[in-house]
Amino acid sequence: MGNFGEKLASFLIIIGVILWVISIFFLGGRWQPLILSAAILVVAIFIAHIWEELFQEKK
Amino acid sequence: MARERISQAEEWQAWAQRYDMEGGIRTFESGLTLKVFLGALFVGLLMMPGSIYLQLVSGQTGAGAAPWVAVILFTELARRSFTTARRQELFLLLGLTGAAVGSGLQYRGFIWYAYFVQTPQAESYEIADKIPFWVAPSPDSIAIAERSLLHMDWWTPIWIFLVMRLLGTIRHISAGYFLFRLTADLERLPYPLAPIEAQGATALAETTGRAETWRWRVFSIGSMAGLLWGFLYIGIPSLTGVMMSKPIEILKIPFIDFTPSIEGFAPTGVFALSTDFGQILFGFVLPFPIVMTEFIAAMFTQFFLNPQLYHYEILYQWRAGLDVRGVGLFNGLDFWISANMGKAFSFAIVGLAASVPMLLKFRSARKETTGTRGSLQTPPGRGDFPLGLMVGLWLIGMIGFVWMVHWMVPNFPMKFLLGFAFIYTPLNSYVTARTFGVLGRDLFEIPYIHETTFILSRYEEIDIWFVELPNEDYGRGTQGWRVCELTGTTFTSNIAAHLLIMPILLISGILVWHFIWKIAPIPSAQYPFAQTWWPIYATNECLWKTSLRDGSSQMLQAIRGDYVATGFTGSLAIYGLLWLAKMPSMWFYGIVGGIGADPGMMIPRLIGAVIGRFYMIKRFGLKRWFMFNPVLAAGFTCGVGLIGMGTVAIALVSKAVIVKPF
Repeated sequence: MGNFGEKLASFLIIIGVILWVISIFFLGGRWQPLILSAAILVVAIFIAHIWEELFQEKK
Repeated sequence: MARERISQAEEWQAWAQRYDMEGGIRTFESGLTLKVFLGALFVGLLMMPGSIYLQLVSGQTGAGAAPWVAVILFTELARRSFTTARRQELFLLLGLTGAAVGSGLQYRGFIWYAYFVQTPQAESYEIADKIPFWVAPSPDSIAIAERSLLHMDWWTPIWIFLVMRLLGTIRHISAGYFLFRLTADLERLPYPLAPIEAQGATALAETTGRAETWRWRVFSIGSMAGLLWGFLYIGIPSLTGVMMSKPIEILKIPFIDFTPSIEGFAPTGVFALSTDFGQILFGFVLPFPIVMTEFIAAMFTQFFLNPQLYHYEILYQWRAGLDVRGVGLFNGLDFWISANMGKAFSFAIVGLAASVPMLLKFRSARKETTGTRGSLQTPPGRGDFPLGLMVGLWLIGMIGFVWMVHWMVPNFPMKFLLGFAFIYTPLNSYVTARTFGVLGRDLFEIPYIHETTFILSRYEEIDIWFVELPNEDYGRGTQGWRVCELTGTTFTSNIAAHLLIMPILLISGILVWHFIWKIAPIPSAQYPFAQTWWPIYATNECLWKTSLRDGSSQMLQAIRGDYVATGFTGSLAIYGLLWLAKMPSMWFYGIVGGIGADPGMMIPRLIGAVIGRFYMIKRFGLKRWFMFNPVLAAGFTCGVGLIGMGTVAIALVSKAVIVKPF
C-alpha cells in the first residue's frame, strides 16, 4: 500500500472538511450535508489508522 | 522542513511510559491476607453506621476520607508491631474499606421508598398506589408502620436487590476487565490519574519499612499542603457555619462569577473562576498538551464562538444580567446539549478507528512482547483471565439482568431493553474507558436518555420509572484495574477480596439500616438533613415521574439533529485536520474536550500544568518530576480528605448538643 493509504486519507479529509465548511456556512447547517461530510471523514479516519497500523513503514 | 509523522502508536506508547511506575517493571503479589480482610471489615463496619447516620444528619458521608484513615491506622499498627505492610495489602485495604463504607448507602432506596409511598406528594400526584410491590411494601403494610426492614413484606424488594447486585458484580468485573485489556494492554492508553491512587498506597507502605525513600517525604509534603488547603477551603466555612448563621468563606466557594462582567464584549460567554486551587496538583499530573489545548479551546468558545452563535440567533434565549448558571442553562438548551452529544459520538468513532486495525492484527497481538502497543500478551503473574471467559460472564450477567427487568415490567418493549444492553452499553463503556485512559474523566453522556426512551416506546405505566434500565458504563472501572496493575497486586486477589467481603456487607448493611430506622422515623427531627430535604426530593421525584404524562418535555425539545450533526462532524473535521498537519492526537482530546466548556474552571489546572512544564521539569528533570507528582497529588488528596472528615465530625457533635433556653 506504501504511501497510497496516507494520500487517500489526506484527500478524503480535505474533501470532508471542505464539505463541512460549505454545509455550515452556505447550506444553513442542515444535518443531511453534515452527515455526508461526517461519513467521508469517518472513512478517511479509518483509512488513516489502518494505514498507520498495518502499512506505514516502521522506522 | 516537513514535520515528521509520529504515529498514534508511538505517541501513546511514550505517554504510557511516562505514567508507568518504576519503568513498568514490577512483580505481582497477592494483597489478600487475613489481617487486611479483618482490618477492612473492622474499620468498614465501624464506619458504615457512622456514614449512614452522617448522611441523614448532615448530608455528607465522609466516605472519601474513610479509606485513608483506615490505611493510616493500619500502617501505624504495623509500625508499632514491628512488622511491615506491603503496598498490595494497603491497596486492597483502601478498596475494601471504601466498599464497606460505601455499601451502607446503597440501601437508602428501601427507606426512601418506604417514606415516599406515604408522602402527600405521592398521593396528590396519584402515584402512591402505583408504586410496584418489588420497590416497597404498600403504605398500609405493617413493615412500614413498625419501621422494620426484617419484616417479610420486604422480602421481595430485598431478594430482587440481591440478585441484581450479584448480576451487576459479574457484569462490572467481566466488562471492566475486558475494556482494560483493550485500552491499557492493546492500545497502551496512559491513564494519567491512575498513578495518584497507586502512589498513595506505595508511599504509605514504605513508612512501615526500615528504609524510608523519597516517596514518604513527597507524600508528607503533599499531605501538609492538603491539610492547609483543606482547612482554609473546607474547614473554616464548615466550622464557622456551626457557630454562625453565615459561614466565613476566605475564598468564595465554589467559584467567583465573572460572567456578568464579560457580557458587554462577549454576550453568551461564561467565565466563572474556580477557587478550588487544589486542582493545581492535578494540573501537575495531567498531560500538558491536553490541559493547554483544552483551555485555549474553551477561551475560543466563550469569547468568540458563543458571541457569534448569539449573533446568528442560534443562542437566542440569553439576556443581559444572567449569572453563569443562567447563561449555561440557556446556552445548553439552545445549542450545547445537542452539540456535546455529537462531540461525544466522535470520540467513539475515533476510538474505534484506532482500535479496529489493532484488532485486525489480533493473532500477532498475542505474540507481541508484553508492554508494547498492539500486544495482548499479559505480564507474568498478574493473575489474568481468558478474554472469552470474561465475554461469556458478561453475557450471562446481562441476559440475566434483561430477563429480570422484563419480569418486572413485562409490557415494556423488549427491543429497547436489548438496545440498551447490547448496543448502547458496550458503546458507552468503550468511549468512557478511552476518555478515562486519555483524560482521566468521562465525556460521553447522553442527557435524558431514559425520558427519550419512554416517549419513543409509548409506554405509559409508572412502574418503568422504578426499574433499573440496562444502560451501564463500565469504562470508569478500567482505571481501577490500571491502579491494581501499578501497585503490583494480582487481579485474582483483588477480585477474591471483594467477593469475600460482599456477602458480609450485604447482610450488615440491611441490619444497620434496620436499627437506624428503629431509632426514629426517617425523616424526623433526629435526622435534620433528611427532614429538610426529603420532602423536596419527594416533590421533585413526583414531578419527574409524571413529567411525560402529556408526552412533552422542554429538555427533550432541546435535542436537535442539526446541532448534534454539527458537533459530530466538527469534531471529526478537527481530528482529520490534526492528522493532516501531523499534530499529536492528544490535541484532539484537549480541543474537543475544551469546546463549549468554561475556561475559568480550568485555570487552577492550567496554573499547575504551566508550573509543572516550565519550572518543575527544569528543576527536577522530566523523569523525576513524573515520579514525584502523582505521589504529591495522593498526599494532597489524603490531607484534604482528613480535614473533611474532621470537620464533619465536629459539625456532627455540635448538632448532637441541644442548647436549652434556660
